[in-house]
Amino acid sequence: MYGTYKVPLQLEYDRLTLSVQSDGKWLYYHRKAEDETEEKQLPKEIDSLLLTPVEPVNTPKAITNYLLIELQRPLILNPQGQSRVYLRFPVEIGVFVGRDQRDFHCIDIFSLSKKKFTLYGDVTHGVICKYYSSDLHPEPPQVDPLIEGIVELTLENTEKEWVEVGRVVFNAYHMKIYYSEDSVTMKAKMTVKDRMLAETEFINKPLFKGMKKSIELHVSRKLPVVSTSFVMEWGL
Amino acid sequence: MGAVMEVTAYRVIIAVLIIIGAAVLAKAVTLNLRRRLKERLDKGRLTLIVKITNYSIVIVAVLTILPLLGVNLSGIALAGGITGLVVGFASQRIVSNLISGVFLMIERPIRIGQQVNIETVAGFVEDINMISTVVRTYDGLYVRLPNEKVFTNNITNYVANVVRRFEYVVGIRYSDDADRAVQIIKDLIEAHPFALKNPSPQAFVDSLGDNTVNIVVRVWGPATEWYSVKMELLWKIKTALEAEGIEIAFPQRVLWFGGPLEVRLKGDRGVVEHKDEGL
Repeated sequence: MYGTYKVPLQLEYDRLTLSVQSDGKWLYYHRKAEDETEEKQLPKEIDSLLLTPVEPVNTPKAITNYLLIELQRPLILNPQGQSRVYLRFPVEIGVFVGRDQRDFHCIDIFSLSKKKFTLYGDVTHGVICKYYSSDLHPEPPQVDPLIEGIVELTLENTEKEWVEVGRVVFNAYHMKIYYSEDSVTMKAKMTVKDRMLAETEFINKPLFKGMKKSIELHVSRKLPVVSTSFVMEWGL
Repeated sequence: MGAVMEVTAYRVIIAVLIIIGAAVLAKAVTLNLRRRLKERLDKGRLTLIVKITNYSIVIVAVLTILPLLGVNLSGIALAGGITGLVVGFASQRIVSNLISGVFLMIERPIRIGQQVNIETVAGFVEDINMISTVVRTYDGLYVRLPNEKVFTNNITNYVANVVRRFEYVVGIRYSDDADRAVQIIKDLIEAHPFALKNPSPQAFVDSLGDNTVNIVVRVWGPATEWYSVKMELLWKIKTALEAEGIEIAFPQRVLWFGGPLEVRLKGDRGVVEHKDEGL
């Protein structure tokens, strides 16, 4: 489903219908994802529509830049050990329109995955995060790319002690999402500094060959970027 | 004391030009600052920086033109102590508001755009000036509070922390399954995106009331969204419970009669009497 389409168009999937219809003067965008509907009127000069996964922190409302993935079974890391696991993350789909297959502008973001928020840290100093719960997978799991993506996470324990990791927090800025017809992926690294402190960051490489890179929405919005990594200072 | 400059038309024109130049410069600098820092700083900090920059340019301009207008700055400095005392006594309140304003800007218990309650005024902070704070109440009224009042009163900031908790008490009938009701409520909370996973929500039987089994529901939401969550969830709980046959109980009384009940019905065919021996 991901990729560039010529307008007008009509797409129908399991819980999603998306169309751009023309009356000669205007284009009419209509999208229904589950019970949520979005309609927009577009100028007739638009000739292409791009569907691509975007940073999963925008729906139902963009109130945070952070994504927290809770591990259904905490992972134990041996002293100064490394581990590579695969986690599932919620996918959000951005709808972009443009002319001549370029100059794309985001007109809609929706998601078919579960939407939930949580607090990471304490009530006074913590941060709100988009929440998702995932199993640990030794290999990339089979998922529906319209609902879930796969993040390859390399964990490195720099401590001389055993540590337990129960959650991972990512900063949406500079999230490197790659997509193909059948998967949405990211690669990330988590460096554990001690039992309560870790740093997460993204690796700008596709998980599989031939994948395309998503448009980075947060960077294209020209929001300030203080740091592209996230320091987990309130526990792992 | 130094010699006082003679005020000439030329000097007045220069002074006016300096003031106009300073105003233009202040406007240009503050506009530029707003444009450059708009995305990088929150509204409160940005307003503070813009105001300090603006006042600094104006003060420098005024100090520059005073000698041109025949005002001796060294004389002002010497007379400053006495003048300060006189002005201080005359404008105690204004000075107090000014100092409170400075402390408010340093301590920052409230920021522009935040929802607060100061004394009895609740609403959004619209502006924090040097001597007053402007609050837009929830019903859209403009309220100007002197900074001294803001600083010395209790301030409740509803959004200072990122999350906030709200609570309901749901009273169900004694004949209803309380465990089932609690589970329905927990499922509804789980399904709501802004009802936070952590801190975890609570739903439990809290007390056995006169007419109801009281279930307390406590939910945390993001400080910016908690009110909409609170409004949405209560009605969803009510309708979901009723859909499962669990009803919100009404106040009721069970009456016991000491003797038998007698009922007298008067109709066209005379009086019919009925005596209940069961009680």
